[in-house]
Amino acid sequence: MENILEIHDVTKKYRSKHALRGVSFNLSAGKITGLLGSNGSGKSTLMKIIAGLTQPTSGRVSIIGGAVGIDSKAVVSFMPDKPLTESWMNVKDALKFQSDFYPDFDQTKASRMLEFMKLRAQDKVKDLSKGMNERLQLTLALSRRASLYLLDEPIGGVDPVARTKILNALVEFYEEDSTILLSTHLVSDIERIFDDVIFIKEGEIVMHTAVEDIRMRQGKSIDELFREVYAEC
Amino acid sequence: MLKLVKYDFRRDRDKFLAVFVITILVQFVIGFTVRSDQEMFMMNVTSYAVAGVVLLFFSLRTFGQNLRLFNRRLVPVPVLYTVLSPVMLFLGSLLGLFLVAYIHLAVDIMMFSTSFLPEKFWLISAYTVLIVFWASAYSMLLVMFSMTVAMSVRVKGRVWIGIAVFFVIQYIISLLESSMFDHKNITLERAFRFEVTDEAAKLNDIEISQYVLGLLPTLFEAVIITILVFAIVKLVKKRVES
Repeated sequence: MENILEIHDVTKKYRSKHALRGVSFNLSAGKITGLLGSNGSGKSTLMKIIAGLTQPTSGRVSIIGGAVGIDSKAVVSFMPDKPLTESWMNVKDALKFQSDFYPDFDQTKASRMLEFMKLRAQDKVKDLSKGMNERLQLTLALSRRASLYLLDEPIGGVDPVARTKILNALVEFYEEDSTILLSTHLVSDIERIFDDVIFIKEGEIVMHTAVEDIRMRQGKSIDELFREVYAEC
Repeated sequence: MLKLVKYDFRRDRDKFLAVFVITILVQFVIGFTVRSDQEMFMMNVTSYAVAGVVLLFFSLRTFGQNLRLFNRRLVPVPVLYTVLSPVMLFLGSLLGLFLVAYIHLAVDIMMFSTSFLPEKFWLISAYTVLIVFWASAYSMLLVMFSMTVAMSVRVKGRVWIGIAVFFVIQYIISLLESSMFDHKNITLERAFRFEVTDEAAKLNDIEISQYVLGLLPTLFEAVIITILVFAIVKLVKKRVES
C-alpha cells in the first residue's frame, strides 16, 4: 500500500535544544494513528513540520511522494493547537474561508458537522466557549476531503462532555480511505479509535506499533503502556 | 491573490473605514475653521498624508499577523501572494484616499474656482500620485523586509534587530543611490519636492523638468524592490516559524 506520509530521519533543533532527534516512520492510507507523548515530547513540532509551518533542521518529509509545499498543503488538513479562525469571524465566515482556499472542502459535510456539533452559522467565534471552539476547529479540519488529517490535541483542555462529542464526531466523519495522525497525552479517552500508536519521548520515537499487537501480545491497554513508558517523565 | 487581499481587508475593515471617515470629518473641520487659503491647503495635504501613514501602519500590521496566523500560513498559495497581498491592500486603500482627495478638490472647484490651483496642477498631481505609489510600495517593502528578518531569528529583542536592519538597509541603499545618480532623481526625495523657479510667480511656475521619471534610478529601485520581495519570500519559506 502506498505511504501517505514518510518521515525520514527528521531532526529539529532550537539552538542547542533538540525538539526532535532522527524521527522516522511511515503512515499508510486508511489508518488512525495516535501520536502519544507527554507535554514537550515533540508532538506539536512534528505536526508543524508535516504541515509546513516549521522547517526541520535535517531530514526529509514526504507527503504522497512529494515534498512539503503548496501541493502538500492542499491535501493535508491540520487542526493545530492554536485556532484556525480569527476573532472577527463568525462560524459562517470560518467555513467560507476554508471553502475559498481548499478545493477539497465539502460544504454538505460541513453542514452535517455543524448540526452534529450543535454550532450555528451566525455564532461569533470570539463568543464560543473553549469546548465549542474545539468543536468548530474539528469541523473546519474534517470538512475537507483531505488525504491526511493532522489533529494536534483535539481533546486537550475540554470537559468530558465536549470530549465525547469530539471523539464521536471523529468516528462519524472520518473518511475511511484517508489517514489521521492524532496527537494527545489523554490516552484513556481516545485509545478506542486508534489502529496504530507512535510513542514519542524527548523528541525520539520509542515505539510504533499496531494497537492490536499491544493488546494481544502484551495484554495491556494503551493507557497502561503509556503510563509505563512515561512513568519517570 | 485577490481572495487574500479580501481577507486582509476584512480583518481590519472597521479600522480602515474609520480612517476614511475621520479624514473626511477633518476636512470639514478645516473647511469651516481655517480662513487662509494657503494654510487650508497645507492642512488638507497634511491630514491626507497622516491618513496615508496610518493606512501604511495597518497594512504592515496585517503583514505581521499573516506571518503568525496558522490559517494564513496553511493555505495552499505561493508565499509570494502572502507577501504581496498586504502591499496590494495598502496601495488599494491609498487609491481610495486619493479618490477622496480628488472628490474633495472637485467640490472645492465647484464651490469656488480653479484660481487657487497652480497652472500645471493636473500634471503635477498625476506625477505626484505616481511617485507616491512607487515610494510607498518601496518603503513598505523595506519595512516588511526588516520585519521578516526580525521574525526569522529566535533571540530576545527581535524588534530592535528589525529596526536596526531597516536603518542599515535604508542607509546602504541611499548611499548607493546618491553615489550613482543625481539626488534630484531619487524617488523618496522626489516624492514631495516642488521647486518654484520664479519667486514672484509663486505656485504658477513650478519647474516642470523635474517631473520626468529618471529611467536609471527607477530601474535601480525596481531591482531593489525585486531583491527585497525575493529575500522576504525566501525568509518566510525557510526561516519564519509560526
